[in-house]
Order: sequence, then structure tokens, then C-alpha cells
Amino acid sequence: MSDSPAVQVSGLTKRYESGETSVDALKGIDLTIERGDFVAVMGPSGSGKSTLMHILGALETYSEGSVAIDGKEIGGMNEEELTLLRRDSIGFIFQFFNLLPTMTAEENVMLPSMVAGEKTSALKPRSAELLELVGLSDRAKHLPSQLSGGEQQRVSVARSLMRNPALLLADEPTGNLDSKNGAAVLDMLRDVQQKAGHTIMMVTHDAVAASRAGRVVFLRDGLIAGEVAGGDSNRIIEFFAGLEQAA
Amino acid sequence: MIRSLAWRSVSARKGRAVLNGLGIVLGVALFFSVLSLSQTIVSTFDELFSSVYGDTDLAVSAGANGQGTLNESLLPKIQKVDGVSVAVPSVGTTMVLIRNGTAEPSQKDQVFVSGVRPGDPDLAGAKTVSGADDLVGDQLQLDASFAENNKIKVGDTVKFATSTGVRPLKISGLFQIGSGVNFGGQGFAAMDMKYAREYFDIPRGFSEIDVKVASGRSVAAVSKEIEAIVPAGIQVNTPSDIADEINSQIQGFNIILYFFAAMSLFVGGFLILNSFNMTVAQRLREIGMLRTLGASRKLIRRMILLEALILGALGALLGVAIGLLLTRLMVWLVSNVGFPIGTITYPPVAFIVAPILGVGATVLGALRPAIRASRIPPIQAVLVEHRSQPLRLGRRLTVGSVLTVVGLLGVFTLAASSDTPLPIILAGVFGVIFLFSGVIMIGPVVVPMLVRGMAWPLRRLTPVEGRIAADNARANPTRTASTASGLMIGVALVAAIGSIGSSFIGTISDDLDKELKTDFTIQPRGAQGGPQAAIAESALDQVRALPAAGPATGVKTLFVADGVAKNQAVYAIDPATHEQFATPEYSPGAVPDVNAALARDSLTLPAFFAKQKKLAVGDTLALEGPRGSKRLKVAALVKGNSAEASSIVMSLDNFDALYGGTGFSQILAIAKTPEQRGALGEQIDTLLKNNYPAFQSLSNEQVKQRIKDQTNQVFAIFYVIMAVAILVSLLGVVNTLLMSVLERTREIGLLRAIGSSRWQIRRMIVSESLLITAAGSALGLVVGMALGWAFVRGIASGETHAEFHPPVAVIVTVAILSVVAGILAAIPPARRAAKMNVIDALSYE
Repeated sequence: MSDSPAVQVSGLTKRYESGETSVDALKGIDLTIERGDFVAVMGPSGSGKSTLMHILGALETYSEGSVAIDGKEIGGMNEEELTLLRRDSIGFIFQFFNLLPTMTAEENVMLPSMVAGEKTSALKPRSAELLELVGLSDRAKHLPSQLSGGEQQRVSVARSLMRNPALLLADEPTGNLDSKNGAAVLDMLRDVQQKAGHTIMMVTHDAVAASRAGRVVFLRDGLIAGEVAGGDSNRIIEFFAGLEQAA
Repeated sequence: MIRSLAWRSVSARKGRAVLNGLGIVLGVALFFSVLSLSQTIVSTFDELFSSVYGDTDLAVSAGANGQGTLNESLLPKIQKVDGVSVAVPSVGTTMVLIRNGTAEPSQKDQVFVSGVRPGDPDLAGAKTVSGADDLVGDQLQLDASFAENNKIKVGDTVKFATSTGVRPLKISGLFQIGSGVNFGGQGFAAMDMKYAREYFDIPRGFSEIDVKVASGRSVAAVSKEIEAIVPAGIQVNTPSDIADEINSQIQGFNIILYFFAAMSLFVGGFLILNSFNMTVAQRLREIGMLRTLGASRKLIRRMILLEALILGALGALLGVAIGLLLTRLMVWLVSNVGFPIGTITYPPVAFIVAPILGVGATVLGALRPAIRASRIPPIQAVLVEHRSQPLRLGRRLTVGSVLTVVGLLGVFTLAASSDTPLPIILAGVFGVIFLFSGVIMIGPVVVPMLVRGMAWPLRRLTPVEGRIAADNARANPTRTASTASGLMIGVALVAAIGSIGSSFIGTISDDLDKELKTDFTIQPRGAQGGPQAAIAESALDQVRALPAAGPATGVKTLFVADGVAKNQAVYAIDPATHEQFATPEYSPGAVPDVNAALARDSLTLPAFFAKQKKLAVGDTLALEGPRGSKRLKVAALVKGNSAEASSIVMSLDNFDALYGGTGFSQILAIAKTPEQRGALGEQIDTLLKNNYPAFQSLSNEQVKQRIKDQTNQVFAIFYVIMAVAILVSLLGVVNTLLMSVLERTREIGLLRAIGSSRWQIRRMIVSESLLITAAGSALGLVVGMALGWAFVRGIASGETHAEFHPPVAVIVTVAILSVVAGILAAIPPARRAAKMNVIDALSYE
């Protein structure tokens, strides 16, 4: 199983039907993300990038094609299996952090394992380790309302790593942060990928953010419109501008 | 414009509107049905009396239960009174239908028998339905509805248990009283007085003399003239006097019903208050926007109040409709307790008062939220978050505690007073209102603490869900507290009634253990109300002759109006053996040998009665009965809860000389040795079964059980009413949880994204619900028991013995039901939370 890619998508379509009309959000996507990759997905609004991420996050069903996460085909999974997949194989990082306001930073980090039914006391070392990784060891007992936006997002990065998921999904992780804090979070994601070997897929509007990824995949009208290597933000902006003009 | 906004607001949030409206619907329905119920009872009695008494203008009697206590010599005297057209004497008693060979203690088998003289005019105005019109030999005229219920036809011979044993009686005719009143299943019958005297062991005297006044003469004047010639203990009443007296006795019952109905409307209004508060909080931005567009504060206020008005009007309308159904349920319940029920009467006033109160409660409940809404500044339209004002917990705690204590004092005052003038009643009513207001004020302080404590087991069970649920319940202490408070009121009333009931039963049981030395009490089956059959004196000798029998004695009771008190119980005992059967608790200062004094020329009085009438040991009472008059000295004052503690007690000899009673009302028997108790019980049962099936023997345990059953039966009606109030408050829980789910949409989305199953989400909502209901119930139990305790202490502060007994059954039931209710109330919100689309939830603002 460990030699399978982290994400294997082929011929993926998603059709939204409401009454007589139907909209094709994804029209046939083929995408492979190897283990340890850091892939940014970009595209104009309506390109289907959010839909793709929701499907990979097991939050949304799809119409045709096949999707395997961590070598597991999710097409035939029922609600309960999808829940378990989300719990064990996927980590989420959201634009608006989504921390539980009544729980401390430490508890928020432990939450995924608490939900999985593990004992809090057994989780403390792991959460301490993760909080140290994101540089918030001294904030473990703080409530989200006592943390800055950047700190909150770092807590949510730590939370996404709690169960060591096969795939990290980041949805505009810097969208709600100033550039300094945004850069810090991106550095952290890169560290996580390079040092700990996590697989990351990040949806973003921001070319600078995308440039931190190893691969940048462009989506347009539900299809993959191209791919460039990460690193050079100017090339990404160029490519992106070309896409928007063509649209 | 505001009209359409208000209307749209109601119809846009249909679910919420239904939920809020339902509270009002139930409150109105309850109030309506309580009004209808009491009207039905009152008009049944009216109908009953007008039909039973028919042409009777005046009834001369010696009070309830007075068998043959009128001296026969009174009849010619009354007949001679100027203005009396006809005077008809009768003897009244009870017999029991034999069904499958035995008599059951069921009310449905009881028949009130009136022994009349053939040839006397029928003043009752009964209509013969079939068979003979007149009395034939020793045959029976039976009321048609009882005959129909028991499939009895003219010409049948039916066995009845009478005072002197089983008698087969032939039915000569059937008659109908009024429009066919259902007397809780009991029947009426008439027979020749000659045979009634023989069969029921009433050798002499009359129970009642009915008088028709000559046309053109004033009933009041004739009544005065009769009063002048009869002994002092005898009452001369018009049928409507008697009906009024019974109605005034029912009035107390009605007041309790109204009180409970009002309380459930209060809970309904409270639900409106809470939900409108929530709606206003939810619509901050919308209201702020209206204000930026130039809407005045007054307009906002009117918009919210109009919304309440629409809701209240719809709810009231539906409430009346449901009330029509609920009335039937309540009528059925009270008829089970033994209230006679005729046709159900819906008083016009109920159609007006119940909806008005419902709309009033709605608008009152919306008043504060409306004022709050009108104070929302226009800037709110653009602010993302609204910081609520911090609660002044200290002040709440102080004011709330003061109100609570004052409330308990008010209840105490009500209970402590032996009289109930209006100020005392008001003290009680306001006591309850103060108490609840006080606890509601303390709520936001106490409820989060309770939630915290109760979350502990939940967190053991489901660490994450229990934890989050507890956090959520405590995140908005005011809302959680007011939701719990709605439930608290209902549960508190149940616990209070339960406390009073269990204290009543418990105290009486304890006192019986102390004061009653008897092993068995023999008495008429299903003894309650109406003239009771007496036990023939010969039965006492038969009981004494039983192999396992030790000492046995007979006692007599009678309710008399003796000039000292209206409807006072007199209890006659045999002083020679008195101490073998009872140990009454005498107040200090009694004469040294009470029984010896009783044997001569003394009596004992209930302590509370003596206090009321300002009588003391050594005082002399002049008593006048239908048989004669006597001056008896007060030998002792009796405390406690035995029959002797609520009656004038005298010797059987003095009793007979005064009232001339016949037969015993009870026979008390003790086994030769404690080991022979079982044997004696069986021997008595056999004796009764073979010779006196109209009577039953009860062991002390059974006596206690009967008191318990009867009390619980009456209390069942109160519990039903309070169940509706509790149902209303549960709607509040549903409402709050829906709100909580809505507010936490994103959190729920997140939990699902990181791998919470739908079941875990449901569990979380159920946990929150359980915390609210458990906190509300726990608070309610404590407050209710405090209320009950204050009441019982109040009673005990007088001369009545009363001790607080915690209502264990109620506590256990409430605890179990609150868990069930918590789960049920969580179903709609839990469903909504579990069905939530994760992606939508995560992007929810």
C-alpha cells in the first residue's frame, strides 16, 4: 500500500443537478499526487478547484471516474467509511481556522484524536510535540480568542497533523492572514512536507503562496489547464494571467 | 409596512413560529379545558339537584350520613306548619350490586337507596321509563342508566349486598333522573320504606323530610317556621343551598386547577420571552439595517409586538380547538375519581377568557424582547459581532435569593393559616410567583454550576461530545438558564404537589401506626360520600365469636350540624374498651382518665377545632341532636391525624341519646394473639362474604394503601395538568437547541470534517439537551420540595400534625422522565445537525 500514490484521480467528473439544469463542475480530471508532494491548485473562481478539494477531502461525492486516497478507492465507500477516512487519512487546514472557541490550543490540537475516541492523557505528548513544531509551546493553555490570527492558523496546522494523515488539504490557508503571518504558515507547511514527508494539497488564489509548493496545477472550467513547477512566482502569475485571458 | 414585515417574519420562520405557538396553544387549551371541566362539574351538580329534588322546596335533614337520625315525631309537626303543602319522609342508605357472586369495592356497583312510603307523592320528579309506576311490595325501582350499564331489565331479580346480608330484589320499574347523569357509575333506587327498614337495619327515624311549599307561600318564610320547631342540630335547606354548599366545596378544587392552568400559561409566556429574545439576537443585523433605513424605535417595537400578536392569535385559536379535546380527557379523569359527570358543558366565558389570556401571555412575553430590539443601534447593521452586556451576577444572586425566601414565607403563611381570607390566598399565590421569579433570577448563576456538575458523567461516557455539549450549554448561561427555568417551573410544581401528597400520606401512615392498635377495620365497601350503609349491631357479636378474634368493638360516625360547627364529624366509641383500640394523642392538660370521663359526661375535641372555637379542657358544650340534648364537658384535645383527631369523640351511649344512630359505621377487631392475625383476617373475610358482602375488612396495611390510592387518584389530575406545562417547557428546550445548532453550524462542520460521525454529532446535541433538562429538573425538584416543605411546615405550625416526607416516587419518575424528555427534545435539532452538509456548514457565516 505504501508504494501507491497519496492521491490518484482519473477521469473525475462532478455534475451538479438541480431540477432540469445541470452544471459540470469537473469535466474529467486526471491527477496523481505522490507521497511527500506539495501541490498547489490554482484557478479562477468557478474553475472547480474547491470542488476538487472537497472530493479529495471526502466531503463531497462525485459523478464519474475514480479517486483513491492513500491507495483506498473512495467511490464505493458509505458514510461511515468516509467518516473514518477523514478521521484517519486526511487533515484539514481552513481559511477561517475553525478552532473550537471553548477549547484551549492544546485541546484543539488533540481534538481529531479525541473524536477518534483516544484518551486525552495519552495524547498530551503528541500535542506538545506538535505545538512545539508550530512554535506555540507557551500557548498551549490559551483559548483561541486569546491568540492572534497567525497563531490560530498555526494551531490548526498542528491539529491537521495530529493523526499523521496521508494527505493534508489546505483551503486558502493564508487567505485570512497578513503577509508576514501568511509567510510563516507557508514556511511551516513546507517544513512539514520536507522534514516530515507529509503530502500537501493547497488551494489558493495567491501566486506567492503557490510558489512555495513543488508543483502548481492550474484548473479552468473543470479541466486541468496546465502545470508548472513551484518556486518562481512570476512564472505562476504569467500562467495564471494567460488562463484568465483565455477565459 | 410593519404589518407585512411582522407577518413575513412569522411565515418565514414557520418552524420556529410553530414551536413558539405550540406553547401558547397548549397553555390556552389547558386553561380552556380547566374552565370547561369546572363548569361541567358545577352544572352536573346543578342538574343533579334540580332533578333529584324535582318539586322539593325544602329538605330537612341532620346533615350528611344521617341515617334515621330524624325523630319520626318531627313529621306531623312539620306537616302542621302553615304553608307546608306536602312533607315526604325517607330513609337513605347504600347497597352494593353482587357481581359474579361477590361484591366489589367499586363505585360502579354502588346504589343509593331511598326508602319511601308508598302513596306519598314523588317530589323527586323521576320519570318512569318502563315497568310499574308505583312501588310493589319489596320490589325495587331502579334508575335506568344504572340498569342499562348492568343489563338489568324490569322483572329481573338482582342480588344486592345490604346491611343485613345478600338480598335478591325484583325490579318492578325503571326511572330516569334528569337527562341521565353519570354519577361515576353509581345508581339510584327507591323501595318501600317498610322493607328498607328491615333490609338495612334502620328500625326507626328518618334520614330526610322533603317539603313542598303551598303555592303562593314564600319558601323562605316557611323555612324559618320549620327551623323554629325542629331541634337545633337539624338543617332546613333549599335544594339550591345544598348545591351551593357542594359547589363551594368544589371551589377549592377549582382554584387549584385554575392555578395550575395559569402556571402553564406562565410557562408558555416564558417560552415566548426566551424565543423572542433569541430571535432578536439572531436578527440584530436585520434590525440594525431597518434602523439605518430610518425605522424608528417605536416601529421596531411595534413590529416585534405585532409578530407576537399574530402568533398569539393563531395559537389561541388552535388552543381552543385542542382544548375541546383536552376537556374530554380531563372529564374522563375526574369521573374516574368519582365526580358525577353529566353532559360536558363548555362555558361561553372559556371561549373568551382562554384566548385572551393566551394572546396576553404571548404579547407580555414579547414585551421585553421588543424593547430590547428597539434599543439596537443602527451601527449593528455593519458590525459583525455583537457583544452582549455582561450579567450582573452578584445583584441577580442577591435579589433572587431575597425573592426566593420571601416566596417561601408566603407559601408558609398560606399553609399556616387555618382560615383562607383573600390576603392569605394572595400571600400564597404571590409566594409561588416570587419563589419562581427568584429562582429564575438566580438561574444564570446556578444553572452553569449544575451543568458543570452534571456534565461529569457525560464526559466519562463520551469525552468529546460530553465536553463540547457542556461547553455549549455554559457558553450562553442566560439562555440555558431560562430554558432550564421553564422546565424548572413545571417540575417544581409537580415536586411540590408530590411533596405535599407524600407528606400527607406519610404522616397519616405514621400516625396510624402509632394511634391505631386495631388489626382489622370492617367498613362498607368503597366507602366515600353519600349515605353509607351501617353494619348491623349483630355483626359485632359474630366477629367476637370468631375463633381467632380477641377484642372487637363498634364505632359510629356521623356528620352533624350541631350549632357548634357546620358539617362536623362526631365519632362514638365504647369508653370501656377504647384504650385497647386506639391511643389518641392528647394535648397537655387533659383530664387524668379521659376514658372514664368519656364514659360519664365528657367528650374530646380536635385540637385545631378547639383553637378555632376558643374552647379548652373543662369547658362545657351544649349539644342538641335529633334525639335529645346533652351538656358534655371537654375532657381532652386530640392532636394527630386519626379519625379521633378530626372529630368530636363521645361514648356510644351519649351518641345514641343525642343522635339515635343505628348500626355501626365500622367494626374494629384485634386478633387473640399476633400470630393469629392471618387467621382472623381469613375468618372475617369468610364471615363478610357469606353474610355481609356489602362490607369489607381492611388490615392496617390496606387502610394505609387505600389512603394512598385515594390521594394519588385525586393528584393524578394535577399531574396531568402539570404534564402539559412540562411539555410546553420542553418545546423551549427544542427551540434553544435548534438555535444552538444554528449558531454552531461551522463548529459542527469542522467536527464532521475532522472525522466525527453523524452519531457523534447527534450524541453531542443529545448531551446538551440532557444537560439542560437535567439541570432544569434538578432545580425544579429542589425548588418544588422547598415549596412543599414550606407548605408542610406551615400546616404543622398549626394544631395539625404534619411531617415532611420526600416524594421518592416523584423524584425517581422525574429523574427518569427528564432523561427521556432530554433525548426526545434533542431529536429535531440533532437530526438537523447530523444532516448538515459539511461544505455548506464550513462556509456558513
